[in-house]
Amino acid sequence: MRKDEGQAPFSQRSDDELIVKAQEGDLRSFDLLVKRYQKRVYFLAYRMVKGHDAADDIAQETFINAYSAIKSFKIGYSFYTWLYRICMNLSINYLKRQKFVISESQFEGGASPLEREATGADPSDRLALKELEGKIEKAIDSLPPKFKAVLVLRLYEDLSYEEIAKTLKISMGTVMSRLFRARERMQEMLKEYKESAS
Amino acid sequence: MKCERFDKLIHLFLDGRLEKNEESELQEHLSTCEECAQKLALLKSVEGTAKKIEAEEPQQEYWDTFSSRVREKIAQREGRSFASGLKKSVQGLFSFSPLKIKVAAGLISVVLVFIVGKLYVDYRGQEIVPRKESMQTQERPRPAAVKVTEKGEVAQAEDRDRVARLPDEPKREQKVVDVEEAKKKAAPPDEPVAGEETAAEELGALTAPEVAAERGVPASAPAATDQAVVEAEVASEQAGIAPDAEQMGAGVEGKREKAGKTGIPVEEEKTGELEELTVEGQKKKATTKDITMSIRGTRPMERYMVNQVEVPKIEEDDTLMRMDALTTTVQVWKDFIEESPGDPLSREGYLQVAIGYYLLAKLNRDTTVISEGKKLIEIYLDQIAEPALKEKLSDRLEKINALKEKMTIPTE
Repeated sequence: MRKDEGQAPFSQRSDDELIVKAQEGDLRSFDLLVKRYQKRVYFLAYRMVKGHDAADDIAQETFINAYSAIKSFKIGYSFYTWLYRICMNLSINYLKRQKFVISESQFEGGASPLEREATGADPSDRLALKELEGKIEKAIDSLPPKFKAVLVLRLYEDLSYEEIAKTLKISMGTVMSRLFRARERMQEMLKEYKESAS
Repeated sequence: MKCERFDKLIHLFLDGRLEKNEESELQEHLSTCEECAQKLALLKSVEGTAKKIEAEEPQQEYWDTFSSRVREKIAQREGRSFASGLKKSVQGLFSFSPLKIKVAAGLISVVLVFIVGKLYVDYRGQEIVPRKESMQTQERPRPAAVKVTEKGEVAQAEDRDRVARLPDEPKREQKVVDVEEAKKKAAPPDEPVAGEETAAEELGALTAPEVAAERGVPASAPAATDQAVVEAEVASEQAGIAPDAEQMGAGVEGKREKAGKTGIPVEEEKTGELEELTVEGQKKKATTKDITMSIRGTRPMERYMVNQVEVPKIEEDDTLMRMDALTTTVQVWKDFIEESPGDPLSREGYLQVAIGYYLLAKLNRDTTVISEGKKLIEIYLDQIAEPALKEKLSDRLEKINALKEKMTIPTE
């Protein structure tokens, strides 16, 4: 009788099964976990730090750290939440080191398509839309890392308040507070867009 | 105030967390409040646009190799962590922090103090604490504080004639010791240092058994007939050095050679033609040099074993002997004579008691002691028949009488 008989195919095994094996030193199981979550982790890092190289470094570092601490992982807990927490901490630290904050003066420099849009310029202009996206990205990037983390998890990962709270190990109230402030700040930065949006 | 409340509802609405009644309330407010409606529209637009912003996705090759790159890094880290752990351990051994230097200095100091102390104790121990074999023989000779005449000659060889004698031992034959031979047999002592005192001197003129007792070394009978010891003493006294009984066998020349190497000065030998040394203190002429033993401590001391008690020999001029030791010695002899008047050792006892009383009287200046001694010597004179001994006792009695007369004459 084969040992694996009765079990799901290797690639279809649950996170917990793979984690148990990885905790026993099975690199193949951990390898599968990496493949399962590599994109999500990479893009989360990318949303936070912007730029492939930094995102790649953070994504790899996330899995390396996870492997180092895999024995401390409690079975039954959400693995991706755990990975997200590692990734977010690395990203926040990276941003703090880089002081990756775009000042409002940078944001407000020159006449933008938004302004043109607000002044009756062609809204269907693709270039203008591209620039608008750039403005929004910059506005998000200009947020302090802790606020940005909450917004990114809510906006791009569509995590609930509870999931954000677990991921960042903060309370629900803190999640709501940070999200509120982040949006207020975004609104302030994009006030020019307010008129055109309305 | 009103809009502030709806600010929160707007955020909750965006996150889909509004109850139905709250949502209705918000919609009602938005229909009347343009500002809040614009705000909601802005945020919805921004977030909608933001969600549409696509991140640049790497090529498929990147995803295919991602896990293998992670594995490689894990392997590198593990190897590095082992190597770095090893490196840190090695570095830790050879790095010099101020604390480590202090600790090392402290340890070195302790070790140095221990070594120096050990060497000192060993050195002093060799000088001070005689081993059993030396204790069995005689009190160790001391560096002679020699008084040398202008001619550099040595005198008073008779002081060196004295050797230990046990009552049970056969009397020694007279032995003429050639100084040169004695020198050859004499051991090289520890480096003699000018002015260095012997143990007895350091201990305040304690007698040899007392020294031994203080040092925890059992004082044994003064067999002291080892010819080599006697000869070594003579040689060492002549050479002005203190040979150690343990080291007998090596020559003075060796000692001097050694001293020369270490830079420690060696006293020049004040040699003379010491003609004869007698075992029983029968003084022969020391015809050659004049040497004066300036203090008592410079002379070897004889001892007697009396009733299992070791007592020093009382010398007539031994005014440095401690009073209690003198009293004890006299009492031991008196007891022995009383118990065994016919014993050959009693002959020596009579003389010792007589000398002892004379010294006690001289030191105490006490007429009671003088009278007591006088009476006792008179009793002894009645007991003994040997003319020579009687004569010696009579001499002592005369001295005591003279002392008494001297004390009774008032000084002007």
